Amino acid sequence: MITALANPQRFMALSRSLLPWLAGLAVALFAIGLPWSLFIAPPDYQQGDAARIMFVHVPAAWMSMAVYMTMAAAAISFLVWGHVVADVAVKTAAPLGAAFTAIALITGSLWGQPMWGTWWVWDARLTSVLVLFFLYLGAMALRGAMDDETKAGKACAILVLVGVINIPIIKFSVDWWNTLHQPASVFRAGGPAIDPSLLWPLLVMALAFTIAFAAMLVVGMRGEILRRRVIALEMRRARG
Amino acid sequence: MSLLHALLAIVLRDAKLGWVGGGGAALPAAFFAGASALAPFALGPDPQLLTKIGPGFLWLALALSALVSLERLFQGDLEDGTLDQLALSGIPLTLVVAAKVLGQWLAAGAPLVIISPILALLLQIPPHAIPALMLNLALGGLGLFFIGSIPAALAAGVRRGGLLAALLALPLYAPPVIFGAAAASAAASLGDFGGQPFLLLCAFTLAALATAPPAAAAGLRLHLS
Amino acid sequence: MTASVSLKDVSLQRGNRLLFEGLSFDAKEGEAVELRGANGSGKSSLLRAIVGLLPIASGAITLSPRSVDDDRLPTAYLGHLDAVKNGETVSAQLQFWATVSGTPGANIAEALDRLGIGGLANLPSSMLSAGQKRRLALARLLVAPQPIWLLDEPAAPLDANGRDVLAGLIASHRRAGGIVIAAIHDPLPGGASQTVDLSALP
Repeated sequence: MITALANPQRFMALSRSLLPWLAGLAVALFAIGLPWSLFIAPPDYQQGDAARIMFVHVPAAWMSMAVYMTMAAAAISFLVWGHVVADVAVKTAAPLGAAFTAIALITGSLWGQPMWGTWWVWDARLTSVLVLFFLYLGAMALRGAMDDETKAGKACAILVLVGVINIPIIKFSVDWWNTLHQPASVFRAGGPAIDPSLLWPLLVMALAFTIAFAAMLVVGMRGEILRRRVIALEMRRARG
Repeated sequence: MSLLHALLAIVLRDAKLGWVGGGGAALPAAFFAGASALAPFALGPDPQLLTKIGPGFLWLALALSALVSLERLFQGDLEDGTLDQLALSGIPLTLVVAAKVLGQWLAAGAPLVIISPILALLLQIPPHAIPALMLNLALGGLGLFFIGSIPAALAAGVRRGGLLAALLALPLYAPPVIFGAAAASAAASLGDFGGQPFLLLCAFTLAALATAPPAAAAGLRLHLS
Repeated sequence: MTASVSLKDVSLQRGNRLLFEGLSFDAKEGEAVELRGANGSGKSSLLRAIVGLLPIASGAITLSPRSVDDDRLPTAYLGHLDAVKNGETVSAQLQFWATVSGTPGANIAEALDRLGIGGLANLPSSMLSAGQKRRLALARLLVAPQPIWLLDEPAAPLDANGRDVLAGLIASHRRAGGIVIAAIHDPLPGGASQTVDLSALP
């Protein structure tokens, strides 16, 4: 399947037929998930309705990691086999991943405010996500720094892979740092003992986020492939 | 044997050129000193507070000094054709990178270690902790320089590449700063040397020494083509 | 083993731009090849591709002699840039390149003399003129000898005397069985065996 998608023409054809389904499914999932999370699911016995932000925060945090893993897989595909579609995927996914990470950070902050009275807390998970945000920004900055598309793509791919290897190290060091400095509170979000009445809407929202990401990624990739085709046509016209 | 000879030549040359030219060794040392000296301005002169925060602030200054020196690692050699010749010399580019980073550490990292005793006293770090602190800064600096060589290589020759390299290096610096500052604090306040944070710092530096040169070499090859 | 260079149907790309395609030529020992072409036609890129810095888009480049144990190509490259650092003396620089290239015992003084800059040996490189820096770069060819020379505008900053020196270097290299491939606007000092014009390609 990977090699089938690697061909730009086949990707364009496949994505064209797939896109309406992805978009429709995403809308449907949000239509189910949002009311369920915001109104139907019971409020948290400690935090009340404020905890409902968890239904956006947790999926966003999951996505920020999942998108980075997707970028890493695409980066390998580009560096090892030279699949241009993979490079397009990395370029398109980076700002999307950064957006998910920002949403996770902002919702984390908004959640923290009513609970602890501060707008930010250096909890291990939030801190790791903050560092991940910088990894995304770096990838976007590097991608845009060079005029040569292939060179920029390869440099960004190398950076993404270096980042992926460092993520466990960063996570470990931040966790270690957090226990060293003994924070006042612990984030209970999405723990293993979550009640089914909260788990199901959470999963629906997570799926909604994932499908929405897939749809946005496909839209972005199609746009980028078309942009490159236009450039190639213009260059051929200038020479001929 | 001649490979070792060649690598040593690269280390010594980069160290000499960094130590002698453009402000020489004094410049990174002065920057480190100045950045450390900002601590009391930022936090107040209370000695007890400085003892508590001093080691961490020293590490912050170390990280900043390392970030500032990233630009000079490959940019100059890329611009004057030296990197072309080194890549064609028959020495694997990975080893060339490792030698260059080592040379740069000797020129820009070692001076920081040398003046650190003075700064330790300024920041109210107890004198008995100074040898441990120097070792900590030496190993930590080595780790920072090696892991920083990856962004330096990826951003070499790019507009405002120095700033870009610094941005890319920031997330990668989080683990060594965490371990190094904790180890420095442990040495300063508890007299604890060789504890867990120090060992973690050593582990990080060793990992960086082993994994950064190939990644940086891959990045450099992009810019050579 | 004798030196030879063979290019078959080589095409070269720079970023998104195709520089040229279908380039083929051969050079045997003792020959000199002039690379000609308009600015931007790909002369410099072709030289970089032959030494292995730039990957080729298609075709094959075969160089000989190749040793079995290491991947090093039998080429010496002189680009636009001289790779001369300001902080070192002239002879220290040359000694560095000799050591790095695996010939630490090379005769530095003799190489500098042949290039006419023997008297500058102990001066800091910052005091050299552009032509003298070029001669220092050319001296590298002598202390790190390779059968195939790839030269990019070697004569550009040189004066008339410098060009004579260059012609002498090329001539003795060819006599010893070496090959010279040079991208050059003016005629190659000492004459060329063949001329390859990149502008003539599609």
